[in-house]
Amino acid sequence: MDAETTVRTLFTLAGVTPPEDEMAAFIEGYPATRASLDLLYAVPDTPLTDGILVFRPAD
Amino acid sequence: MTEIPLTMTDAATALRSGDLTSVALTEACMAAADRLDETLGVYIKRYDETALAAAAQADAELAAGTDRGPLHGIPLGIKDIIACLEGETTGNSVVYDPDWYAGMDAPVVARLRAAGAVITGKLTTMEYACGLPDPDKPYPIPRNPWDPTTWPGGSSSGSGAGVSAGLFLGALGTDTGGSVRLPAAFCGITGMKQTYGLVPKAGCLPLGVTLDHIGPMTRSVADAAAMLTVMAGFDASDPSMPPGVTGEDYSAALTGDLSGLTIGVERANHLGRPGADPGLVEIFDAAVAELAAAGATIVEVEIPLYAEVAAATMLCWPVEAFLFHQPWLAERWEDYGRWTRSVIGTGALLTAADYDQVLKVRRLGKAALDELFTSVDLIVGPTCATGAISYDDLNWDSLMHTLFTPYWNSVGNPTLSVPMGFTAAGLPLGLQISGKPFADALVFTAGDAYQRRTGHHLALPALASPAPAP
Repeated sequence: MDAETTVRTLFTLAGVTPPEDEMAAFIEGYPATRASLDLLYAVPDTPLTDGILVFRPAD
Repeated sequence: MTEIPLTMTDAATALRSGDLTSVALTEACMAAADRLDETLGVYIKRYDETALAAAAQADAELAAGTDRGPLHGIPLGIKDIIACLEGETTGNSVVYDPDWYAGMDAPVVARLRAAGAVITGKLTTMEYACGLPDPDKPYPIPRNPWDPTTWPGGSSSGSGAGVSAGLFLGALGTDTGGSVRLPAAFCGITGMKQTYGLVPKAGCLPLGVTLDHIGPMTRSVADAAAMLTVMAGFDASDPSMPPGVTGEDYSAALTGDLSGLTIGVERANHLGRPGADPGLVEIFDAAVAELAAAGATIVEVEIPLYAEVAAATMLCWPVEAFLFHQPWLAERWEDYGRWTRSVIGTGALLTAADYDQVLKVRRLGKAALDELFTSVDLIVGPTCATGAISYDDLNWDSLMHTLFTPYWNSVGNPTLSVPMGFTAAGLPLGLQISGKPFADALVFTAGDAYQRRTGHHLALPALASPAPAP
């Protein structure tokens, strides 16, 4: 899915609609965001790692 | 007019010797604000009347032999994302709920007040702790006392500028990716991001709930230690705190002696960045030499997964911020500042799987750091690659390019920034000192030992002249 389709879809699902000039900036910036995320997905062993958030049912 | 002591410690001594009253001190701070705040943009709202009343009460109590400790009668400012009972919390935004936490103190403010502190008012911040200054919004533009054409850093901008210029002797800031340590470095003061979960965050507008810290900003490490002693400890209002977590008397850790400690120097991820100040390496090396002279053993280290964990911080907080702001963004997008909505909006662009991956990498990075800390007691590096950024050059790219702070938010370790010298242009540079979780006292020990041997933290911007009494 290309950056424009991804960004527009995600904002629609999030219930927020930036004006077109700002949407264009988000679309332009999305590859850099994706690259940062790809850096994290490249870290080994992550499928077996628990995340940070903890649910304490007693709270 | 009364001269303002440089530090809380100096002021506390003068208050008890009879050389100074809290009322005179508070009036002097107010006069400094009268003279400088139009230039510096520190205050959103001053609480002059209630501050003077609190100061008078402090004087009466001290005269009657009731001594609440080192913060008694000391003027402090509060970043305007933290609730104070005197008035509303704006988040430096036109999009806020005036009824939020109305008439109540955040628990951390209540603790400062119970310790006798004089709350002077609410301070400017990046909008909701993340938006760059926006001249189109009805809030002051904060300026760096060392050079008002430059930014004091943020998001605790007013806190940093105000302590640096002597408008109060300490302040509360918050730190999600560096927002205590960055303005501390840019303004030439001390700022502490303590261990995550040590200080309650209830009554503080959230930015990234898994990354946020409320921390002290002061001129000296001794002052920051005194503040954290009051601030720290479990409060049931904050579910992020380990049950029963306690603080300690951090002032008791200030021995001046680093004998027996091993300090890791992290150059690989901190030095050699393009565009770094030309004097950074030499100034940093001199700072390390001072730590060695204080007794520490110095070793070279490299933090594993540094780039990944730093990236995780900057990907994580927009998601958490978007969750908080989504209803208002949906209805009032353009009422937010342009920079604010440009960064919080990116939080909508990560999937749930992406967010889970961010959290996993933080967990892995923390485990790797814990392993590194089996061989060292502390890790040091510069806080930023440059001095304060000119307003002509300020944007997200220039900000991100200078920061060495975000990594420490993802792992939650205590991290302190202290002044370590000046650029050729006369702008302060900061040294970052990090420790193991809940070893905040040891971090203070090192910072204080450094400050006992140097005088950078006592330097005043020319704008703050006439110089306060020593």
